Amino acid sequence: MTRPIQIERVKTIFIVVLFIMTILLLYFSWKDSFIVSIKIPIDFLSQEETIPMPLTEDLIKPNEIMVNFGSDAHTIVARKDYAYWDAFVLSVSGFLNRENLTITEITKNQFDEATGFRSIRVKFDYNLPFKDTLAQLDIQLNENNIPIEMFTWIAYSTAIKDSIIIYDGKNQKYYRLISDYDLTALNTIIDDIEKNSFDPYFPMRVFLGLDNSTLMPISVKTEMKEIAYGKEINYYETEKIVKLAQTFFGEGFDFVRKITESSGTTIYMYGYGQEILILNKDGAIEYKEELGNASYSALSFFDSLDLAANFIGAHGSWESLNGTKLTPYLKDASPIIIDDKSGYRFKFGMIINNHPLYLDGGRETLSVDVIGNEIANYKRQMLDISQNTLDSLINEPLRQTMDPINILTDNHIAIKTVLNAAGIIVPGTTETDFFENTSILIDEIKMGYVKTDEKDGIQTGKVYPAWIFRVGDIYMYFDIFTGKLLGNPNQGPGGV
Amino acid sequence: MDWTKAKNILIAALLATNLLLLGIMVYGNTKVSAEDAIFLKNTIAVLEARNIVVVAELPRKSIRMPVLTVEYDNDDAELIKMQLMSQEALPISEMTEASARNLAESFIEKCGLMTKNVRYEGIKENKGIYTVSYSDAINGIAIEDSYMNCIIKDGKVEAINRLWLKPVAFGKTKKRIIPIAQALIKFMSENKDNSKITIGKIELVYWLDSVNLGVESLVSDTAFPAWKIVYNGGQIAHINAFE
Repeated sequence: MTRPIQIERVKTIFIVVLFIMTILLLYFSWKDSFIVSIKIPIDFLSQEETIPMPLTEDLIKPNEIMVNFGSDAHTIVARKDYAYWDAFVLSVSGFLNRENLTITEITKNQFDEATGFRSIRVKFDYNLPFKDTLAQLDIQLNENNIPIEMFTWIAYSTAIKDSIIIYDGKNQKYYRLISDYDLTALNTIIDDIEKNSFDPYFPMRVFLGLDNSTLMPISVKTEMKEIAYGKEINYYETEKIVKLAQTFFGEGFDFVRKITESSGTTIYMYGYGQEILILNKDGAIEYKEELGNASYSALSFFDSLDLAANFIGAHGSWESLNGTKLTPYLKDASPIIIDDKSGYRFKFGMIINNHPLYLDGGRETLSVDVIGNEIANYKRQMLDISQNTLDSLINEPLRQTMDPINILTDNHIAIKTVLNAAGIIVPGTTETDFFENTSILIDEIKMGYVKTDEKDGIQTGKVYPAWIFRVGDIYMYFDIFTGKLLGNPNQGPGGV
Repeated sequence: MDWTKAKNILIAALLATNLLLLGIMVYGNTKVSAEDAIFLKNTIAVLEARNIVVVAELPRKSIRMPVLTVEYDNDDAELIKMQLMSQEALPISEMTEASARNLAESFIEKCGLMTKNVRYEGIKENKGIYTVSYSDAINGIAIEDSYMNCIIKDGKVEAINRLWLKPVAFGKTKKRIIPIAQALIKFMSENKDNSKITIGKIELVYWLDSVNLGVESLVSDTAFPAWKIVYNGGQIAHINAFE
């Protein structure tokens, strides 16, 4: 090889080296500049991505649909039969769309009297803004002058076949709406439910001779059984924890304080605690954010709900972090005020095999506080149940449950003790007094799964089928087959 | 096309670019701009007007720093106990500050606690009892609240008091720390009662802000760069050095 060719080769190599050096120097001199001192949430950066989310109309399903067949025979429609709700909405839609719609306020007695006949009562556990909800359900209103602010119950009675009855739980007002729309389809729904096999429910007064109209089931069979679950996140799954935490803190994540406690709890903190993410050893996740100084404007109920739903979708998703798909529903919605700013607290529940899942001790599967355009608090304790387990539940044989009346008989002293601890004194001196005075307080009896921290003092990793007794805000769980009190009672609407 | 000439031009251009970039990097990591200097001078004047006198030497560098992950380092109580019991006492007549320090460091070594982060701070003697103090530092920057004190009595180590934060890893990225003038303004704003303050020392440290943390029994934490301001002969204030 001649000398000039050698020199040219050296030059070429030198150019390549210099070029690589230029790239490296550019990288090192600019890389920190890209790390902005303000945080940019990942979800903002990737807003083009579609986040899988449930539809609003799927989240807003009635908590209970009660059917009165007349003469005290009732049933509560199982969630698998919620197609009846869609049929109900269809009739109500046509009804409200009429031009000759009239609305009159009625009394509670009139409401009770009407629904004492053959009727359907659809109950939500929260108050929904009337007009916005109708818009959400694509129901057109021709009448502009509507005095109804919220609705909590909506009912139809064969005693007044030209009417729909609405209860506004916020203002505690009852309304009778009349139009010339033919509501025969609602009679058909009642007939149809009656023709098919249904779980019979009767007012408690029928069994006990007490003044309590709470519906109590009798001789119910169920396919429910204990279900094993796992935590969606474990304290040792570092990669998963970091990935989740990054969704909250974004690109500034490297400057977020990370604290690990000996208990296994990990805390991420931005700034002086303006934003805190806590990942508990038990798999529960909590995120808190100080409200910013940005101009505040209150959002409507449904805009707030959308914001909450989007936030959940972007921060952990609507499934478990391992992909378990349960069916979410809006379990509770209540107005809240933080720092003189109003907003909503949304609690979302999950349905397992057509039954709601409850966490004992007042905990929530998903809870989001929305204030204006900001999220002030987010709690999450999603269970991880294998898809095979969920699929296998469909073919489970029916088993006889313990009758709630027997649960009440066996546990009235335990119930009294729970109520006393919550400050509700059950009067009486004899066993009979305590039984009657406890029974008269029961507001609701329903079926569901309950996740307890422990059973018989042992961490179980299972959810149990349960009869759930509610007194006011207190929820008590009883093994659906043995009647034994399970876990810790809830204070507040803890069922999810 | 004359490739030889083209290559020469390319080499010259790339060399110039690289030198420029190197210059920017070096300058960017060490610069103290004229504006910063004027700002600092004005700040000191404002501080004096607010009864705050700065006698400390002021660090001028404006640098980028990462956060530091630290672990709470639990010592081996059994090993320390064994080492305490197996000591041979030095005759009292031979005890000096230097021999006390030697004793302490030998003991720390035997207990497996001597690392490159252990920094000698000083020694105090009171009625024949020597306290040899060590602090924790990484790359010359102190890790606050991390300490080790060796108590020497009757020619041997009597006890070792220790709360040690073991540096585990730096954060992946660096961020520029606030200039000292900005830290002093923050310090001033915290002095609500306008009382007389003399700042004797200012240094950059790694610091764990434990105020209002409300957690117990920690395994690890993240230390952030902070300006440590020592005033009125021993009182300490920490100012977070990130915006």
